[in-house]
Amino acid sequence: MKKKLMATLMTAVLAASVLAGCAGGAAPAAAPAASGDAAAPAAEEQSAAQKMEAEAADTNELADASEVKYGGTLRYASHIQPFGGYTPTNTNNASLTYMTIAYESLTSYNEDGTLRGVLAESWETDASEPSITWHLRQGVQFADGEPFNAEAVKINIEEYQSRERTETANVESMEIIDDYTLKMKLKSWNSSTLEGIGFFCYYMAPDKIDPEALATTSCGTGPFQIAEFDPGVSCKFVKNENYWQEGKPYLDAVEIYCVNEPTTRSSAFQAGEYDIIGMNNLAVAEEIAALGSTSIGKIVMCKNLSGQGAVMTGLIPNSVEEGPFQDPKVRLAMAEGLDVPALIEAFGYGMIQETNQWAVPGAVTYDPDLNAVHYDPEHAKQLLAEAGYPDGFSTRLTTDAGNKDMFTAAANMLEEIGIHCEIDLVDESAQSALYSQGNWSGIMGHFAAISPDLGLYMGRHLDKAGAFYAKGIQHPDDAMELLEAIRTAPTDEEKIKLEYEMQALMYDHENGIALFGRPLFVQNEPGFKYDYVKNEGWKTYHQNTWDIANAWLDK
Amino acid sequence: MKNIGNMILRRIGQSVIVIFIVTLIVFLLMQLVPGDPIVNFLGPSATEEQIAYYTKLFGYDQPVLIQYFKWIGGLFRGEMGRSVAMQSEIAPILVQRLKNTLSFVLPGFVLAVVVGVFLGIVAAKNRGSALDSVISIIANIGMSMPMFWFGMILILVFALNLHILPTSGYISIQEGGFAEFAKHMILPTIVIAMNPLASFARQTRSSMLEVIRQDYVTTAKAKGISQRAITFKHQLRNALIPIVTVMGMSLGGMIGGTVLVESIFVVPGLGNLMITSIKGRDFMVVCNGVLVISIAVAICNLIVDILYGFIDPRIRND
Repeated sequence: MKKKLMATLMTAVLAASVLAGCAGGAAPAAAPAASGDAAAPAAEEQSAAQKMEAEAADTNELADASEVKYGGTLRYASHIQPFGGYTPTNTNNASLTYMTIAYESLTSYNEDGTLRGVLAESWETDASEPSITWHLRQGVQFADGEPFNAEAVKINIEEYQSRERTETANVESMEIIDDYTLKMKLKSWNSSTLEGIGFFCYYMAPDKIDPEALATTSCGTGPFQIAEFDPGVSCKFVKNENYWQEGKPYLDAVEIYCVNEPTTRSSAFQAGEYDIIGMNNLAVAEEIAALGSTSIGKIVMCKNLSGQGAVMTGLIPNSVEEGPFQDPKVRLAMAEGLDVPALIEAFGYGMIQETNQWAVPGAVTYDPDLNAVHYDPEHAKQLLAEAGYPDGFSTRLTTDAGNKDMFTAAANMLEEIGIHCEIDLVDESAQSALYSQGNWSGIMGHFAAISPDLGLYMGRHLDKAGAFYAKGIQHPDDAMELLEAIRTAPTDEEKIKLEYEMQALMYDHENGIALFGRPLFVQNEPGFKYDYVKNEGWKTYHQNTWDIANAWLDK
Repeated sequence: MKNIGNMILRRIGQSVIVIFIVTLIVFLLMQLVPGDPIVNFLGPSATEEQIAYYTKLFGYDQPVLIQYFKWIGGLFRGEMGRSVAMQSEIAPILVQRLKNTLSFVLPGFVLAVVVGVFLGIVAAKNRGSALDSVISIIANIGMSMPMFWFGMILILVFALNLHILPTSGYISIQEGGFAEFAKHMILPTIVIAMNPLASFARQTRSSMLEVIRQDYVTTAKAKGISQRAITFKHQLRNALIPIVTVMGMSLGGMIGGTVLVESIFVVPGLGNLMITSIKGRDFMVVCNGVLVISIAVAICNLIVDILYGFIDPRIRND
């Protein structure tokens, strides 16, 4: 009897302590959930994230100089590993989060996705010669005091070329006109070269260019420079005393930490251990948004307005392997069999945006008048019948764990039109191998970087020499000719007109060839900060970049 | 003593062979796993030229066996190769990560041994009592509680509600002093200790119960030896062999199985590095990590073998 009583008491005490831990305070129990694990918000209700977005005070309004407070350390955490300070090897889009603190490029983006000068004050392009002439900003120094000039740009571009960087592959030669003017002669006119060189090349002090020397430090023109680097763990930056913008940066230091586990990152943010975090798990992001504030302060959601650097998720059929997807009608049927708004409502937590073409609504290449693919199961069945599959067929659908729930739901939708999918679950690396080798079977997830420049971004997957997806899709002559026409378009107007044609060729409801299947949505990975973080411009111009020189802490 | 020396040499020889086989198996298995470190590192914007350039730069274009023997040859020169994902030499990273892992695994192990053995002795001495039941319940909970859940609960209680400990992170003694280091290591230490603590408590109780009614214990009591001396010199010592075996296996397992704890508490340790590298197919980091873990397990086993000799003279003289 005694034993039973003691056992009951112990169980009660333990249960009470667990409940005490879970209840009260600012933090609800953060469930480790993959996307789709938690209940979806009701159709007519706004998600917490949408409410936060609507209510968010614009903390990036540039403050009056007298309001700005100097000093302090901005602490940021994300799941992305920090990278060292040698820029040509850092090709992943995610590395921009780290690189843009220490390094600057010739151009960056405006909020609408157009280019603005940073280290270049202006530029001229000549499609007939073909060439780009850069007029560089004067009075800029690298962190070691060396001047930034045309010679430095030339040496850096040559370093990029020696590393086979595609952005610089089209540069045939460079001529230094004067200290601050550099003319690049191109092998052929390519409308994407300006953006490739302007944004994706970052400038290191020429005498410091060495992968070993810059493995754990940096020497750029950016507002902060790496002081301490722990590979895969953290990167700590301190103020660049030689920074070219008068009186900036305002902060003393920026610290970036890699915190893989989303729930831990969320807890640490709520405890005030980080001022700003990236959140790759939408379920956890929704929980943070639902908090609204903690004892530390009001939480603000960081939004990517331009769509630059955001990732489009879609479903892409293998049109090269023997089978039904070689027929464009079957690919179009697959695209029309997916009820994308329903998928987004169920799995998006109000943080993803539907798209029906390779651009974000609002971007210059987004064609709002396109009669794009949309959910039309009857039309899908008709297309299948016309293609010789009136009773449907069986195929495979490959997915990683992160998208498993959504893609399983998509498979159920395809079942309704007669396409029976068996789900293959693989990890992300195995999935990447399938992309690069082009040997996935049936359908799989399609993940593409978004930019208004279709020649550059769509080309990476559509071009025969593309490293990802290209080996698993057909390359019909009309599409390849159009891609080449976009690349060689002499003017922006002409380019955009051709890009609209490309969107129609791929995604038209009646005649699209649906090589990329169906785009589902664009995800701007959400970020959260406390409202005392001002003007950092994170995600404002590009998903992975800052305006860190202007950042300050109002606390 | 000569016997022990021979045994140690024999064990070291066996361990070297085992470690060699483990490295070969892991190296070959990693080649068979779909995925490419270069493709993962460069991201979806890469071109074939870039992938080819870096594949050659890191030597992944060479035949598998040549890659393997180059790696083994490098080990004899103290080189472990370069990480693709981190773009750095692997050796200093692994050394640092192992130190970070040990900074909570070793205190966790000591905590588990001290508390676990103590609870086991108390439970055995009070067999059938309420105290025995309480300890058994604690041990059962400790063994069955999911580490991830337990860690999250501790974060919610001590960091978010009580605000007395940080949620996560690692600060070295050099960087923040001992107090900061200890504050960050308390929760990971408790979480990593919980399962082995429960296991040691159960094993100690069970082993103690086997010896507690032996004739030599009754003889010792009849000779008027104090209860403390009987417990520690006669009962515990004779019960230690299976306990030490479990401890040895647990320490090896704790070093190799820190992934969850390091992930929850953001400790930049070996487990965290391994899981990131496996996901990114950073082959060389995985192979070197397995090598380090294999050596750690081999050392644990060697220590256990040596301890057997000290605990039981019959083994020493056999």
